[in-house]
Amino acid sequence: MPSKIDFKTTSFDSGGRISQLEFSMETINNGNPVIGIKTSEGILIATGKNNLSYYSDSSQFLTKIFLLEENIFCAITGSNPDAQALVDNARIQAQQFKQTFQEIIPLKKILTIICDIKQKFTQTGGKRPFGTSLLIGGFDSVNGFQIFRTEPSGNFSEWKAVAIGLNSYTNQTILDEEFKIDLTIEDALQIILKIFYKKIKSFKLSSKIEIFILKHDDKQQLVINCLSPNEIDSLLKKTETLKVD
Amino acid sequence: MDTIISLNGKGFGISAIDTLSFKSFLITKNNLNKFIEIGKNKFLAVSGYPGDVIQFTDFLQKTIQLYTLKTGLSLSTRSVANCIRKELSDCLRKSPLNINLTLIGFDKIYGSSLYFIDYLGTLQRMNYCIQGHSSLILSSFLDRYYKKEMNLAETLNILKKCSDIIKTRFL
Repeated sequence: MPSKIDFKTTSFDSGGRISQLEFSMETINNGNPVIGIKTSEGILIATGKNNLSYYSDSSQFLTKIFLLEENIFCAITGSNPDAQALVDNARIQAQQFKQTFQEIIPLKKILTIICDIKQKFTQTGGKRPFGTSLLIGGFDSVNGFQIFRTEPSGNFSEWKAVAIGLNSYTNQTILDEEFKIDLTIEDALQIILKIFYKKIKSFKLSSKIEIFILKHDDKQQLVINCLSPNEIDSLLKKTETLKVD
Repeated sequence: MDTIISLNGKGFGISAIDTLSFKSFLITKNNLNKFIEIGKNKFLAVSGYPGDVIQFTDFLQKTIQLYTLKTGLSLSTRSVANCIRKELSDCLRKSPLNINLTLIGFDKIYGSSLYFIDYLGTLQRMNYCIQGHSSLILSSFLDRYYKKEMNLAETLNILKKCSDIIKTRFL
């Protein structure tokens, strides 16, 4: 029966688009907000957590940031189960690479592994695409710190500062204004607070966002830091005192 | 059985291999090139049955090349050595190949490194190594005369002495 929208996932419609991919972007635009900022010192990724009811007990399963390898982590948005399947697969591939080459998988390689899987589902098999967008951050000895964003179509792009998920358009505008080339991690944390705080305002910030930082520590070792709830709250206090002044 | 003698010098690695190709008691070719290049700064010296050698090294060379094209990054000598070891280990448990290799590679940070790889999947990084039957005789010679950080002239001298010993003792 003739219809403007073709619901078959693996074929183009008359406008030259794959409608399922457009719909999956809708899923992503309703997912939790994720911000990634690359500074000269390291990478910062912050995600918003879902609202918890008082009786909800799944605090340990709420995290939206996963470690793919020692120095590679990714933040997910959109459909959680889809993203988990991708993350599991990526982790297995990273370890298989390590088994063969005894080396940590390069960032670009694990990125292409994930994106190839995503692309396959848009062209063959008649299955729906993955309704997730991943933000993958890591360090390479060749290219330094990098942040990549992957989309349901299998497309990926490298960013200095990027926002995905809920309100991504507004957040990206804020990032475009605030981002400078020589940011430090402290500055980047302030930008993140600016983005999240205006929506949250009251009570505990740490129950609403989580922040991961990848940087070199004093001994030049790569370290992934997950800010504890106290540290996130204390960030807020720092800004508060600045505002008062 | 072919002989491979390899040494690590100051900022370089050197390897000598005989160029004879034989089938039971007949010499079929006496100037066969048994070195295979992998990437821009690594090479393999391979000994063993010619069919197995070509099948394995061809596959390896092209796999590494594909990897370099796909990711735009080059592998370190250590990664390549471990890749070879894994492939040989897998082959051993399916259809054993009778080849022995020595991998010499140069990395910017580590300098030159030498890896001894056996047909059983043995992997060891060494300063000097010998493969083949002549290892029975030459190991003790090299134990005595090898020094770290030799220059090119000294290593060539040692290789010449090794070759003289082989001529004296082997058929």
